[in-house]
Amino acid sequence: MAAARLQLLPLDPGDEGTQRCRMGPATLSSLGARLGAPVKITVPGGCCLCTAWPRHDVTDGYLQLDLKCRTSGLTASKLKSLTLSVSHLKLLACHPLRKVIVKVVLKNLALKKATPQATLQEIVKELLRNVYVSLHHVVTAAPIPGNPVVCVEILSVDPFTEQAGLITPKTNINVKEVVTLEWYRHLSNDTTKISVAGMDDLGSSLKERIVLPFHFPKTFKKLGISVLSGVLLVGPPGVGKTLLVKAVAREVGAYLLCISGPAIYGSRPGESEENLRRVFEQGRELSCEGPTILFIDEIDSLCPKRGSSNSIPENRIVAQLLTLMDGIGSENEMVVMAATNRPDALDSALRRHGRFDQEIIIGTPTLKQRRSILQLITSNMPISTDVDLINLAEMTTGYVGADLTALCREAAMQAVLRSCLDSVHMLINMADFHEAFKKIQPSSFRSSVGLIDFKPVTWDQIGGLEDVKLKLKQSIEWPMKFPQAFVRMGLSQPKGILLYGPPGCCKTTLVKAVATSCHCSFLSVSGADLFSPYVGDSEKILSQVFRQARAHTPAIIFLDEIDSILGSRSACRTGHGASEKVLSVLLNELDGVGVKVTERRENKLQLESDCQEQNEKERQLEFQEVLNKNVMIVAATNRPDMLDDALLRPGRLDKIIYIPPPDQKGRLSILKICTQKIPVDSDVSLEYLAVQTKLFSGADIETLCKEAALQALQENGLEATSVKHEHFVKSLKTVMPSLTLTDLNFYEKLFKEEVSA
Amino acid sequence: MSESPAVLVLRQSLQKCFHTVQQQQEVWQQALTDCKPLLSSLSNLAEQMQACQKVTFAHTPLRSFPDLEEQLKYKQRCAAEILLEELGGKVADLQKVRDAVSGYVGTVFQLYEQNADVLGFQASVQRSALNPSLADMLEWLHDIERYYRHVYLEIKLLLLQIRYENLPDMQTLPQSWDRILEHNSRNIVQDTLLKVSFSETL
Repeated sequence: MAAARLQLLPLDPGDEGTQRCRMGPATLSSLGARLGAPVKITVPGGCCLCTAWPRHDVTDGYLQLDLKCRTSGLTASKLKSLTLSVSHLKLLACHPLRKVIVKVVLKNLALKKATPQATLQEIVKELLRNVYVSLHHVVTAAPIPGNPVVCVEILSVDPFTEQAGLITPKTNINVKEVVTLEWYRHLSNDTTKISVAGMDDLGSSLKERIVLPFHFPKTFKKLGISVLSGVLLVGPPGVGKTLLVKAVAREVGAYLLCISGPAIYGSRPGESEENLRRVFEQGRELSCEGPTILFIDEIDSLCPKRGSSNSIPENRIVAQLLTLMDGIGSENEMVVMAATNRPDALDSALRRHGRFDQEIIIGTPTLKQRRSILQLITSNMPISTDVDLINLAEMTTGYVGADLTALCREAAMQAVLRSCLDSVHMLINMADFHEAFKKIQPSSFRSSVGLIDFKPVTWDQIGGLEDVKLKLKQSIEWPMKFPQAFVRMGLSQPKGILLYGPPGCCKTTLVKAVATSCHCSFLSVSGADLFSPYVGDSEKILSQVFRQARAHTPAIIFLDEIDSILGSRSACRTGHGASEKVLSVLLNELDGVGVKVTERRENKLQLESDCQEQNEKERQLEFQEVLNKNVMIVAATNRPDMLDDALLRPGRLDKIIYIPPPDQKGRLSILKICTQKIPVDSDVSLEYLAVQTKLFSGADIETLCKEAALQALQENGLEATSVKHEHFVKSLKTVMPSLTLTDLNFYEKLFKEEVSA
Repeated sequence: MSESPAVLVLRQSLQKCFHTVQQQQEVWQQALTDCKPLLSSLSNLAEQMQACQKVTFAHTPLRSFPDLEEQLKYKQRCAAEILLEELGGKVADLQKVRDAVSGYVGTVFQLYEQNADVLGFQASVQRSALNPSLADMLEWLHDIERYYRHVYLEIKLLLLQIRYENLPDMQTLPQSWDRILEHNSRNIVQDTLLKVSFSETL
């Protein structure tokens, strides 16, 4: 075969719009095509239908084609410097058509309105005359001045044929749809679905509200329902507000028109308003053709409170937006959606019915939502079987969708780094996720006040205090781990726990152990975080801590040295000190009427109407969801008498745990833990030391051990290898117990009083 | 030159077809030239109508004639309608030409399809000093037919745009008309007829 390869050349100007393709005689005869026979040419990106003609110079090896009739994705730019082979060409049989159903694309809306149906029919008939068509191909119209038609898409042909059909003067042409070019482009653009997980109910309700009025306008008119005009999406950054809107728009095939603040603002006075009006006008035009969503992202930048900002231009924009929002809805079906993470910064006039009818609050995802988000993200990742998504979802408290995506990406990166770089069979395992988990912090925690880094402490690292450990586990760990048992027994979770006891008895360490053992957000607040020279700042910081904790439930807020933060209203003199205000904030946060609406998470309805037929695991998750709504406060102090009475009543810090100084057995176990790293000689009797260290607190015992080791170093020089009994005895003389009997009596008395009360 | 009977048959029918195209082309040209004065009168009329709209009759000496304005407008409208009707007739003539040509071209192509297998591919692309190849001639016929269709559609679209509400556009009708003709000035039909006239005389 002489011409296996065909080089694609640009078309001769004379052949434009003739639907011809020029090829060499050898190619023609190898196809067996007659002159003017329809040929289907498949090129990357689509195919096109042409009629075969020989080249004027009768040379082989070249191909020129006219794209008059082609599939919609194909453009001339894709054909540059391509080389095809004969196998890309296919000769088609030709049938004259009885009837075609077409979709006509017009230049713009004005022409669509001005052109009567009959005229259009006539024009289309003229345009399609003697043209070879095929199903789902688009016929481009000749560029004649005054021709409103841009192209014609063939929706169906009769008689049905996969081959080419010829439209003759006798063919009946049925114009089924008339759309404008802009809308057509939107429809034919990428139609891949964007998937959003964890917001199914929200998505479907939004979808309904957008689509129903458009599809059933008569019903709506009859019922007298005005169309939904505005939806405001509120939620912290990264939860997927923008993605939700995009997904909904894509799914219902709505045209998404985006407004962003910077694009609207202009330098001239009045320009910004003009831009805003233009966008709304554009939306209005588009909405004549199909469902249209006007999406204003970060609306707080466009529409701030009018009173607070003194700049007049900004106020004018707000006013313009308000009037434009009022203007819609009367004539057409444009839906305005807006997203913000600062709903309080919006002008209040905007948040009323008729403007934004509905406010949807998207909170940080709950456990179940996180699981489904993770499922979605990992669905197209090679995941090894040991990855437990439920476990992962439990670990990632406070992560929003964006954080979870980052987490998965990081895990994938870990997998890439671990295995050799270009292996095809790569699996992401749980270890990768754990590694990524260390690196990716939830984004909302980045600005957090109480976030701390601490070394994990296990329960075993704390000597003695077995009953206290048990109590702590009961009140903090159990409700989080075994919620169904709590529900069965009708128990509610304690809201707050107060740990008190003499200093140095490892109150703080106990809390660390609690935070380590139950995977939850842990926020630690101290006086240094709270107090600031500005009036009202401390209160604001404290309530912010609580707000963050609520967003990241389950969470523990740890208030160390609570007496110094709060003080007592009764004990202190009168006056309006900052600490009193902080106290009132804390009391409110602990046992207030409710939480702010903007902090709502998950849909209420969904929680109320649990389906029965969930499997056991699902139900367990559900339990945890419900129970973990609360934030737990753990406070520690060694001056419990200084605390305000209101704070100690049930419902606030309702569980009060006394942490006693270690008894003999406790001291022994503390000694054991402390001497683990010290090379102790065999003659050392820890039992003896335990008896001797009466009134020593845990911290004292630790000092004692260190002192003994230092003594050993002092005596035997730097080469010392072991600590002998005598060193301990010597250090016993220098290290004094920090506790006194009077102190202990005081604590114990207080404890008894509490019990009797 | 030994030519197969199929080629001869085709050549004959092509010759006949070009003959008729020549005749039709005369009709077409005639119709086009007839249209020109009609369009300029229409444009004049449009100018009058616009003038009529601009003037306030109450401020002129003509105010003593009651409902002059309405009558005038009616008259203008009637005149325009008559002109449009005539134009419509001319356009129908053009359409007839177009239909006739595409009919002839269609029959030639049918004949080619019937003889294509006998003819062989080589014979259809063979050219000589005296004769253009069959493929070329068929292509020219196609071009001619397409030309008629194209110009007809363009003229039709121009006339469809005429609206009494849009008088300024109506005034520029002759210019638009000239533009259409100029735009298609490379008259494929004439060129092709010249090309084949040489072979026809043989």
